[in-house]
Amino acid sequence: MTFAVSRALGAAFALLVVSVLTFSLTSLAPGDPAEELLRRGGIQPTQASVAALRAELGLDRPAAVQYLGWLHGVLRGDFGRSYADGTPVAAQILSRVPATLRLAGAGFLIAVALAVPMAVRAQIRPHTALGRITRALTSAIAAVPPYVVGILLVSVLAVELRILPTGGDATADGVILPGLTLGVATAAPLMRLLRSELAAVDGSPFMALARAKGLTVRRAIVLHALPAAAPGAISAAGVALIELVGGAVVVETLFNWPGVGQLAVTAVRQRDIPMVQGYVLFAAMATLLVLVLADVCVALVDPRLRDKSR
Amino acid sequence: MTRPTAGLTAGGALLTVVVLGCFALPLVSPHDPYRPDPVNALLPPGPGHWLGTDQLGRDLLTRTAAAGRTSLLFALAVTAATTVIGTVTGAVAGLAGGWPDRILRQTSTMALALPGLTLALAVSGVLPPGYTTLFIALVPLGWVSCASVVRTVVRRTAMTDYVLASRTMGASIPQLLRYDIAPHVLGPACTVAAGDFARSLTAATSLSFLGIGLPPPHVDWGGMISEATPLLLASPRLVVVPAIAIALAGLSVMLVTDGLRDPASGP
Amino acid sequence: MSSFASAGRSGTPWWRRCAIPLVAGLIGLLSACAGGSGDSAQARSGQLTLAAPRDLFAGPDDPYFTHQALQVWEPLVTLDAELKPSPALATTWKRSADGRVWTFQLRGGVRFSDGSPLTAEAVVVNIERFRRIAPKQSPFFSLDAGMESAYGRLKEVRADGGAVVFELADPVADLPARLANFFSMIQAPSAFDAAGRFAGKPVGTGPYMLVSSSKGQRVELIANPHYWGKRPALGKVVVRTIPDANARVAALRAGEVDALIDKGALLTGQVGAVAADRRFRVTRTPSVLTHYLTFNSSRGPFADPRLREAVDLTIDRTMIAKRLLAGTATPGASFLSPVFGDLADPNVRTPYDPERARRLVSEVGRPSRPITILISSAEAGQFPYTDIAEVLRSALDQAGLPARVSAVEATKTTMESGDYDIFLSAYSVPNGDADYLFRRFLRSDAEWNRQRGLGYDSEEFDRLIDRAAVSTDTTERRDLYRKVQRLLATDRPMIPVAYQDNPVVASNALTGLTQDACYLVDLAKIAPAS
Repeated sequence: MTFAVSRALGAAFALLVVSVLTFSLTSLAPGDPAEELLRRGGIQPTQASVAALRAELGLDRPAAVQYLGWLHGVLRGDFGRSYADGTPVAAQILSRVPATLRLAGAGFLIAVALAVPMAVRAQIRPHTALGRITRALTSAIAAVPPYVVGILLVSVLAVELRILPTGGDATADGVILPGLTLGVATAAPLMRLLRSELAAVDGSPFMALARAKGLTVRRAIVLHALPAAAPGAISAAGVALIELVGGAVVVETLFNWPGVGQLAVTAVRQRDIPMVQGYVLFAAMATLLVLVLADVCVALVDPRLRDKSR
Repeated sequence: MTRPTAGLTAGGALLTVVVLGCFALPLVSPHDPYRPDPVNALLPPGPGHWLGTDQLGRDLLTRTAAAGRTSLLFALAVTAATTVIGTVTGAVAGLAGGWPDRILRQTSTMALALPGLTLALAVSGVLPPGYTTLFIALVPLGWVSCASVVRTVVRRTAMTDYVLASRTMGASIPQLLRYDIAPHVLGPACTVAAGDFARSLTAATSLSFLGIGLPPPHVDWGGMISEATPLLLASPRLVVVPAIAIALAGLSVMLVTDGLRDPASGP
Repeated sequence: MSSFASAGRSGTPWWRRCAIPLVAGLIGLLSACAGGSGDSAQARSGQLTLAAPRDLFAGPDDPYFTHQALQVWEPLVTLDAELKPSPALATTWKRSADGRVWTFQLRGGVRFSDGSPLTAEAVVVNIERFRRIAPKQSPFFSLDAGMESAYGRLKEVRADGGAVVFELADPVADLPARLANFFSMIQAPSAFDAAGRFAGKPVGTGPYMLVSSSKGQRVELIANPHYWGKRPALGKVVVRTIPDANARVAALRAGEVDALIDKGALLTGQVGAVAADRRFRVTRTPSVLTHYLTFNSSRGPFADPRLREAVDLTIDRTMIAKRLLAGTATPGASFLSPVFGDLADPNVRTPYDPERARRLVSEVGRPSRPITILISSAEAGQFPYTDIAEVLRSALDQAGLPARVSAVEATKTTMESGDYDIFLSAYSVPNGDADYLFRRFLRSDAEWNRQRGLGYDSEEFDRLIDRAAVSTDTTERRDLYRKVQRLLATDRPMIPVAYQDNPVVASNALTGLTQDACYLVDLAKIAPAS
């Protein structure tokens, strides 16, 4: 319990620093958001309009005052209003969270479905040709940036063969291509993490004992090594999930997936600063939540870690 | 084990070819990778232009190589920065323990809180585009992984008997670092650096692909692909060539990283 | 953990046992979902699915709620192909002899989508609301404080019988052109709350009504049962927002959408390949968008008019329009583009003469530092500005003016700090008023001119545009504007590079996709091809 609390406190402090960092970065940004907002139809606003909007947005106040006002709002769940259309930032981000979760979930499933069998197989029989080839192929695809893989998948599967939609979440199968792009990119690192966990466990004395008892390599690994590797696997899965959400930025843009990443890229392109700030803070909160949860899970599964801080 | 070394060898050879190609080609090529020549736009591959020309009549091969030079150099610069910062802070935290160590731990929590392109997107979205911005966007997170690896190794090494022995023999801290600890740190640091290099390469080109990376006339592989995607239907080769180049680079770095990390478990 | 153990004991490796259901599950998921993809095909009957690069829906905090293109609301006055005012909800209008009082007669028998009738009082409520909430930003057209560019110096707007009367403090030459489209949006007064926000959904008079919308994703429309005109052939319209140009074309080619509409529906580079595909028809119409070069003439090399002329001469406009803009633009000449009809001066010429440019440069002498060509990184995503700037740089280089390209996000800050020599950017007008461009950008007291260092200060120019703005004689007004354009062609504070067309594309299964100069597609005229 104290472990969870200390973890949560650390995360809260990290969040505070992230918020200062985000806010100062974005207020250092050159340019006058008020004018750029008014220019969005491609026309030129008058000086009076720009001044009025600056006052309305509070841009004429000192940066520190702006930060405190913003932080005060954030603590009450008010992330400010989008410069682009005046809608509340928090509501817009929240409305897109389910789509991102769906995409990350699909990617995670695909990554796990690829990585776990490969890792286990590699530990049991490292040198079969089939295993080698699948592992090499997965690693090779993961070495290519997702945007290249994505362009390829859309061109072949959606546009030429028309098997799957090009993206978007209008139909249920829209998730497959972006999920595959994300999943494949995550499978190789996840597999590597799992393998090293398994290998580490495999070298420990109780495995030697298990074999001495007469268990086959395969049974020893499945019965003893896998459970022992569970804590490591949970951490690895947490990291993989976080990487997925981070990687979703490119994939969502590419596949017109209405998630948080697409929202962030659009906000960045429009210099919608409250939205960018909200996105960074939201991403940090979500990530820390996953990390803390993963740590707590690991501690539950592995009593050895409960008392140690690391 | 001879096979894993084969992976490392193959990766090394491929990387050498990619690097040589990117750096030597623009020097020996008769074409300027940046100067537009619209009269010769979109020429198909032929004797004058081995891979044809792009929408502005620039030689695709030369331009891909020049873009690769930008991408590789930039990723190298970011990696150098993250490795140096990471190694120094990791070593200090590992040796000193106490509050420097706590600060490092807290910092790594923060870095973990901003995964992938999150911070990079915000930074490159608001600061004027350019090398400096991209650098600021990518360095802050990269060094942390290096620091924690180095810290762990330093801690472990510092507690070994022979370091204790050196200490009792009166070795100063710099001497300890130089002769007893550094050799142990070098390997893991190199492995992390190779991973960082691959990550920086992907991250920087991804930002350029999203149109918030390097501004023109600088171009990296991501920028080339982004420029060419409108022409994906008309001239797929403009996308395919830089895509293959970046795939080869990513693959070779991956092979080298794997070979370095764990010679026994190559694919 | 116990499941691991039991799986292990039964003899088959657990990973194989797990892998089989997992793979089976994935395949099941795939095939179950594949059934869902058929709906886009069956949707063809009676439903139109479009995609646009931006959100055409802005929400209740926006002055308009939706873009005019969705045809949920209609304006009093719209524009024809030559940007001339043409009737929408107002059928006729007349002006008093002094140009201070304008009277608009409303179309009879028009009802809002809630069934209430369109009245002159409702129109007055809308105009007064605009004035009250201005200044107000919008992703479409922001409202300026005072709304002067739309309504002139408005003393009063009132209902008079069935007509709407605008009474102005100063005469205005062409109020209907200024009002046209967004600035004369009319919705039922019941649509607004006391503060001028939208209370619920928009309530307009157009052929369609808003059913549902999700921000940044899709808007669904159905036919308005109270519409005064001919009922649209397609009862349901879905407009998807697909910001990424390649994702948009991929959706079209995969048959997921029937047409791509709106400003920038196709990137210039995509037009050729899409037009070559026999399944689609590309419609290209001139737009109000023009690419201009703005000179920093207040300091540096371009304070010398000869160097501005040299730049003008080095621009190969035909090549830019044909090659870089892939034939989606025509070479620029007069300051006003041809969409302004007879106001555009047909006699302005912009020759391409690099030889003469070189002579001019050597006459003046090489500048001490390289020329900075500034582009906005946001615009570079819409048009091939990177390429154009690159070509321009190369051309200037050869003329003896070494240059560098600088792409920034915040062009305003950069320009105000004077850190540019040439700025490449596109401008359009919010309505049909020619005065807008001249007064906003180039009048000696225009903020654009003063703060961004254009340094253009011409008494003659100011006098000409001021006279044109109040001239009620159309021939005199036309001649004044042509004179202004000839003046600008020699002074060169800003020079047009190309007039941009806006290509839109529809599947051959549809007919009736037309587009006007303001990117408005008439949804109600789109019908399935028989």
